[in-house]
Amino acid sequence: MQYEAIIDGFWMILDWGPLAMLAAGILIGILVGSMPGLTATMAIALLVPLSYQLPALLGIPLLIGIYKGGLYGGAIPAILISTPGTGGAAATIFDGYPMAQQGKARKALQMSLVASTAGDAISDVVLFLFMAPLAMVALLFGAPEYFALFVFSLVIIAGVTGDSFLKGVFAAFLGLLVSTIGIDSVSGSSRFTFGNLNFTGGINFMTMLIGLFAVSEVLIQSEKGFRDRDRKSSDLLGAAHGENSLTWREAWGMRRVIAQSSAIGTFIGIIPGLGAPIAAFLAYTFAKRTSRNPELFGKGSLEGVAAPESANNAVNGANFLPLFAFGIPGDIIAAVMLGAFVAQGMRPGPDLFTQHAATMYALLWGMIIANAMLFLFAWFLTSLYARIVLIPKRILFPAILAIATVGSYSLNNNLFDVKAMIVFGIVGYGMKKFGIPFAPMIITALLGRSVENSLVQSYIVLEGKLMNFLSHPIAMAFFVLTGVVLLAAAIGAKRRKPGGEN
Amino acid sequence: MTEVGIYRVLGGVSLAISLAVYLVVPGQVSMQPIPGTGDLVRITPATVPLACATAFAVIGVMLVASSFSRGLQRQAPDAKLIEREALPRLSFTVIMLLAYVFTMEFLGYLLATSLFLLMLNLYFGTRGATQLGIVAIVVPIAIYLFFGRVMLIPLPEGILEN
Amino acid sequence: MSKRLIPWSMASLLTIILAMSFGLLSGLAAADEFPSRPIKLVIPFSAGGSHDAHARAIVSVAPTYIDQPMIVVLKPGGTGAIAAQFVLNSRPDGHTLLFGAPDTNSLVNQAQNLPYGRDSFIPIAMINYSPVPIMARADAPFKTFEEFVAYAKANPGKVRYGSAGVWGIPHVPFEYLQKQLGIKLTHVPYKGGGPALQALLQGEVMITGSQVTQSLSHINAGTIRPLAVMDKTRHKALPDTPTMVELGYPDIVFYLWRGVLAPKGTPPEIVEHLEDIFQKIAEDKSFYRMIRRFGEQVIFMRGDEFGAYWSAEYEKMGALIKELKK
Repeated sequence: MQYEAIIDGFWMILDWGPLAMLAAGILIGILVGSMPGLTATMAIALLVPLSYQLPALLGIPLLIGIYKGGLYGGAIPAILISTPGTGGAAATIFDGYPMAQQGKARKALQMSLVASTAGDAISDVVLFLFMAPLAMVALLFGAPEYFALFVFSLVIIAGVTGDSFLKGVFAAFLGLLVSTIGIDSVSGSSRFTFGNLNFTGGINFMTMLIGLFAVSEVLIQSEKGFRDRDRKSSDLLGAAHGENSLTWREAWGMRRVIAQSSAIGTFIGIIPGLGAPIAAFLAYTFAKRTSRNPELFGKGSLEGVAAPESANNAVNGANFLPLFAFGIPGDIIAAVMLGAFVAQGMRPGPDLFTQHAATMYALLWGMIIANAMLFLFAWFLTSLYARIVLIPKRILFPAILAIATVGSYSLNNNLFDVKAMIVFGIVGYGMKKFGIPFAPMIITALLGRSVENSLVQSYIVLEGKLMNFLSHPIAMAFFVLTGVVLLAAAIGAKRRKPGGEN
Repeated sequence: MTEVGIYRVLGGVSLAISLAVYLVVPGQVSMQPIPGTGDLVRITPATVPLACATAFAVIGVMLVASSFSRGLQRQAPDAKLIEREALPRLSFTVIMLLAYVFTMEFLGYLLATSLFLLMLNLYFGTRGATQLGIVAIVVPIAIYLFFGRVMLIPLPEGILEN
Repeated sequence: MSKRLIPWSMASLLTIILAMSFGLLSGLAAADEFPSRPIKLVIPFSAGGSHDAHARAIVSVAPTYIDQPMIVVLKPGGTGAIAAQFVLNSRPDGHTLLFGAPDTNSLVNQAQNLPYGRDSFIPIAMINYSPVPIMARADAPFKTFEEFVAYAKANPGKVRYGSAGVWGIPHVPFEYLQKQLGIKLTHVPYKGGGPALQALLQGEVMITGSQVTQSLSHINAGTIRPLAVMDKTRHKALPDTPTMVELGYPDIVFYLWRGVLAPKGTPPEIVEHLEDIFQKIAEDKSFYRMIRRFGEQVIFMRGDEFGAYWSAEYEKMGALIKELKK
C-alpha cells in the first residue's frame, strides 16, 4: 500500500477548486439525470473538452461529480412520473412509481438516495482497498464466461415474471427479436433494416425504455381523463410528513438488501461491458427472491426501491476498476472518462498508480467525498422534487410527453427515434393491459446482441466443441447456477399450482 | 376480458409474430454462416431471429392450450380491459400524439409542442388564462431553451426557420 | 358547447401568435455566417479508443478558432457504417462532420457493398495516421516476429488474434498478412478495440492490432510485447520494435488514418472554411502537446492532399479486399 501517496492525495483533494468542481458536477448530474431523455453521458460528453483544458484535479472531479449525481438523478423521474432518467433507473420504477402514487413519493426518493449513497460508498471503498486483486477478476472473464453469465442473467431475470411464466417468456423473446435489428460488428451483417437507413443503428435502448414506461403510462392515465384523486395536497405528500418520510428503522431494515445489492452491483461493475441496467435488474430479482414479502414487489415495496438503486450506484465505483487497472472502460461513461484521463497524460494501465499515485488517490478520495456531498445536496432536494406530484396530471403528463420527445429526438437528431418511442409506448400500453411483464423484454433487448456475440466468440475460442466448455470452470459454475434456478422455479411452480396452468 | 381471453388473444398474436418473422427473414437477413463458425454448428445472422420465430410459435400454441386449463377457467372474469368512456379519451391522446410527431418537422418543435400541450390540456379540462398560458407558452419555451441552447440539441425549426 | 369553443379558439390563436413571435426573436440571434450552430464531429467507434481521444483533443482546442462549440457525437456500430450513414443523412451544410478512418471509409464499405464510397465524402483534413502494430502477450510462445511466423507455420490455426470488428482494422491487415506469409491464424472478432485489448490481457487471444495509445502502459509494465509495426519507419514510441520493411515485407504496410470528412454536397466555400479551421487546430501548440501525450504525432494533410492520399489507399484496399475474398 502506498501510504504516502494515499495521504498526499487526501490533502490534494481537500482544496477549494477540486471540491467546488465535485459539487458543481454533482448538481449538474442530478439536474441532467432527472430530466427524462437526458443522460449523464450527454452532460459528460459536453463537458469533457472543458476538462481537457483544466488541470487534472479540476477537470476530472467535475466529471466524477456528474457521473454520480446523474446516476442518482435518474431515479427521480422514475419514481415521480414513471420515466427512467437513466437506463439503470428502469428497475426503480417497478416499486418507486407505485409508492409515489400511494402518496409516499418523498419516502421513495429518500430511500433511493440512501440506497444509492450506500451502494456508491461500498463500491468506492472496495475500489480503494482491493483494486489489485479484484482487477484480476476482470481478467478471468473471456467469451465463454461472458456467455454463461449472460445466460444466467437472462434466465434469472426472465424468471421475475410475476404470475405467468408464458407471458414472461413471450416478453423475453420479443426483446430478443428487437435486439437483432441493425448492423452488427461481429458478424458484419445488417438485419431487418428494410432499406431504411434509420434502422441500421438498431433500436435505441433509452428510446425503448421511455416509450415502454413513460408513454404507456400517459396513455393509461388518459383513460381516466388524467383525473387526480380528490385528496388534499397534504394527503398527496403523505399525512403531516410523518408517513411520507423515511424513518431510521425503515432504512436500517433495508441493510441486508442494500448489502446484497451493492455486492451484485460491484461485481457487475468490475467486469467490463455489463453496466448499470443489468446490475439493477439482477439486484431487483435477487431481492424479490430472498425477501420475506415477495408479494409486495411491484406494488410499492421499499425493498424494491432499495435494491436496484444500491446496485446501479455500486456499478459506478466498480466501473473504474478495469479502467484504472487496464485502461478498459466498464461502460460508456467510464469510456468517455478514459479519453479525459489520456488527454491529461495519465494513461490508464498498470503504471497509472506508479506514475501518478498521489493524483489517483486524490481522485479516489474525491469519489468518497462526492458520496457525502451527493447525500447532503439531494436530501434537501427530495422535498422539492416530491412536490412535482402536486402538479395536476393533465398538465404534468402532456408535458412529460413533450420532454420525452426531445429526449428521444436528441439521440440521433432524428424524428425516427420519436416515432419508435411512440410505437413502444403503444406496445407498453398493450403489455400493461395484458399483464405482460416488462423486465424480461428489457433485459433481452439489452443483452441480446451481447449474447449472440459472445456465443460466436465462444464457438471460435472453443473450436466448435461444446465439451470444451468444461475447461472453463467459471462458465460452468454459472451454467450450474442457471440449472439450479430453473429447477427451483419448476419445483416451486408445481407446488404452488397443482394441476393448474402450465 | 378475462384471463382466458387474454391468453387466447396473446396466443394468436404470438403465432402472427412467428409467421411474420419467418416471412421477413429471407429477405432481410443473410443466411451465410458467420466467419469462424459453420464447421459443426451453423451460426448465421438468421439463427437468432429464426429461433425467436420458432419460440413464438411454440409460445402461441402453449398459450392457447393453457387457456383451456381448469385453473384459468376458474378465475373470475376480470374488469373490462378498457371502459367505454375511456375509449374517446385514449383515442384523442393517441391521435394528438401522432399529429404532434408528424407535424413537428413542418411546424418546428416550439410551435408543435405549444399546440400539442394546448389541445390536450383544453380537452382534459384545464381552464383559466394563467394555467393555459403556462402550459402553452412557458413550458414549450422553457424546454426549447434548455434543451436547445444549454444542451445544444438542434430541435426542428419548422416554419419558424430563419 | 359554445362556452367551451370560445376560450379554445382564442387560446389557440393567441398561442400561435405568441409562439411565432418568440420563434422570430430566437431566430434573430442566429447569424448568417458559418458556423451558425454547434458543429458535430461524429466518431464511428466506441468511446475510449484512440479515435475518440483524438476527437476530444480537437474539440477542446476548437473554441479558440470558431465561435460555435464543436461537440463529439459517438455513433459506434457496424465498424463505423452507422456513423457514416448518420452523417450522410444530415444536411450537408458543414455542421455535421465525420471523423473518419480506413475501417469505415475504405474497408467495410467496399467489403460489404455498402451504399457509400470514396465520393460520398469530401476530405477536409487529415489529423494523423498510425501504423497497425502487431501486439502479442508477453507470455506467448514466441518473442520476436520471426519466432511468431515460425510458430504459426508449425501450428496452423492455433494462434488466435482479436480484431476490433469484421472488415476493419486490424482484421483486413491481419488477413493480408496471413496470405503473404502463408500462415493460418484464427480470427476472433470483438466489438471494438477495448474488448479486443481485454481479450489479449485475459489470454483468450495471443495477438491483436491494438493501437499504441491504448497499449503503451501495458507494454511498459511488461504484459504486452510489440512484435512489429506495419510501417516504413519505426514508431517513435516503440523505438525497439522492427518495421515490416526491415523484416523483409515491404508491402505489408497499413495505416490507420484519422481525418475529418464532410458529406457530399457541402458547398465549396464551406469546405474551404472548414479546411482553414482544421489547419489552425492541427497547428495549435496545445493540441500538439495532447497528441504527443497519446504517443502519436500530428501529420496534417489539407483537403486535396488528403483526398489524393485517400484515393490511392481506397483503390489499394479495394483490390486487396477482392483478393482476400477469393
